[in-house]
Amino acid sequence: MRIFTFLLLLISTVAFSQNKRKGLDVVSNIDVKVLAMKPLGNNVLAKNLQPFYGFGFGGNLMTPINFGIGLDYSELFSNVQYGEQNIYGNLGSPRMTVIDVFLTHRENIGEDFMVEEMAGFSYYRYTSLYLDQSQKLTDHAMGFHLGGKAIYTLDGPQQVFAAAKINFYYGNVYNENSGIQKYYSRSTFLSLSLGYRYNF
Amino acid sequence: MKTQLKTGAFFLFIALLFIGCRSDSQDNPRAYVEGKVVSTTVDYKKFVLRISSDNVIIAETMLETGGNFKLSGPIGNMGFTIISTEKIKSFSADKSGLTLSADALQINVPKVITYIKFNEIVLEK
Repeated sequence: MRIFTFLLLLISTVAFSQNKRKGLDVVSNIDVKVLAMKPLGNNVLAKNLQPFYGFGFGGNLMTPINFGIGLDYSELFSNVQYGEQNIYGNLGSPRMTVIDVFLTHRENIGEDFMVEEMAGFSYYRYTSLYLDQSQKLTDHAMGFHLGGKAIYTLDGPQQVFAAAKINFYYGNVYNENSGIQKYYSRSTFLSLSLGYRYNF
Repeated sequence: MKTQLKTGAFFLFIALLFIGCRSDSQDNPRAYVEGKVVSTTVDYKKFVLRISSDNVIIAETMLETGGNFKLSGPIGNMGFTIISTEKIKSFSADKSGLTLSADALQINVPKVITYIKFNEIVLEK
């Protein structure tokens, strides 16, 4: 417990009290965004669902050497394609919660313009509602992702950005036929987002 | 730069560990049934095939032209049942252990089976 408190103190010191010493800033920012996500390949998410649309929140901590860490949280919604219900099952309202934790690197291209690349883990919570009973079907999946972000500075702390990301999804649906199992548990997502970011 | 590479490798290692551990899980079984229904007089537009598990309908379909069908849905750990709207006379599949119910409207599937390919399901009519 004491160690935990110490760590908290350390983190808060590092994160928030560096403003006085110019040149050694750890900068933090938070963002909101809208997303469109298309699963790719031969799998249930790509073939039997419409593209996902949703929203997200995120935050970054950036060190002076332009490396940082970040966290993204997204909620995405889809529908089952018409005529594909026999393959998807008696389920509706597919919803994907994605949590991305990543390392990021920033490159300043010009005065107002910068690019960031990121790579890290992803956790997915994938739910659908049963049509015949008031319950959810939940699948937890792990994976990783790679992405890039183009950022334009509006004025001072305000920025807008566009980002592209590739997510790899490894679920745990079981079927004794390995082809079927793969069809229902693996996927790759391509997502695009537009957002607004505020720097502290 | 050197430390960055190390951190990257560490992250990747953990990711692979997570993925590796999860691939053998049987927590989320899903049934997949495909095959062909054979009948002389039954109207394919009115015929429905369903699968149910724990008394919940988890998938249903009408027949494609020629009587072919594909059905899939998430099941519980106690096996599942294939339900027909017309009586079944006989069937042949790539798995053994399937039983026809007394009213001939259901095929019961034992709990270890999650994938079945029917050569044919012959209806009484």
